[in-house]
Amino acid sequence: MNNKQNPFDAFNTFAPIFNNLMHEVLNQSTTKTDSTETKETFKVAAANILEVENGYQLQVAFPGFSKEEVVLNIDGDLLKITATKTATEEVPSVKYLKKELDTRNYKRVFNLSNKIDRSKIAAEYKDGVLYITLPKKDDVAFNIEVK
Amino acid sequence: MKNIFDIVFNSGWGDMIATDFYQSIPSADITETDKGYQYQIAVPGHKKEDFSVELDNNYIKVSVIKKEETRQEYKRKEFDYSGSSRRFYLSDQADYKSLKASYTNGLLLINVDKKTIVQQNMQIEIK
Repeated sequence: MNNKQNPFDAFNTFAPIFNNLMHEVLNQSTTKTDSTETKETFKVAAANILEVENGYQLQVAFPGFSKEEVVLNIDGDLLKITATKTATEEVPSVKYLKKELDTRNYKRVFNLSNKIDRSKIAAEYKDGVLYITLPKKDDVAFNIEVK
Repeated sequence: MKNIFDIVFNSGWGDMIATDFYQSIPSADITETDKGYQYQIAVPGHKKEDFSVELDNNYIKVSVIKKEETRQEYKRKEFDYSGSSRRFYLSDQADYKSLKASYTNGLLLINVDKKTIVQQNMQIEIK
């Protein structure tokens, strides 16, 4: 039997482009109430998903951010991770010779499967990576008696 | 390298897309001030012991050691900098003896001062 699971079974992960589209959708619903809000742009944080014992580990990269700047939020089925740099003033004497990092805002949204035990989700931030452990709910295996 | 048969028959196309194309070359910012240069290299998820920073003919070479292969079941892989390296040009104006490197929050910082040019006030003797 092919034991390989489709990753989309457990997670609905969105490719960066979808992620952006999703933010668009999410932003639209929230910005309606506050028309003065300026439209913010986010960079999609890179993420790894590993299958570990009893569940999954999600690794989301936020290089250059401190633990205090990273926020993990679970809202219904959505697991949202954002990292925001407090606006730093542009120092005019600094000249960029190369600019590849986007260090302002990062965002990533995942859809949590109902196989994940939400009460046991844990997160740790280390060396620019947020490690989130997502334990699976205990499988309740049972046989149905044939009468 | 995966066998094409495995790719087509044993995994969904989604698996291939989800694990075979990932970011492995670190991104960087290089800034210049009157005093010197700063290199900010994004290599999240490592320890400072994982890096080697070498100077080679006006280039700073940053290498990330390859992590020992522990079998990990990636369902999705978007970044892995293990085993990668990148070279950055070091300006002639930089004083390589002042090179300093540190690693915090997934960012490798390399600072180097500019050479101090000794301004000499010279009186030219008229013969």
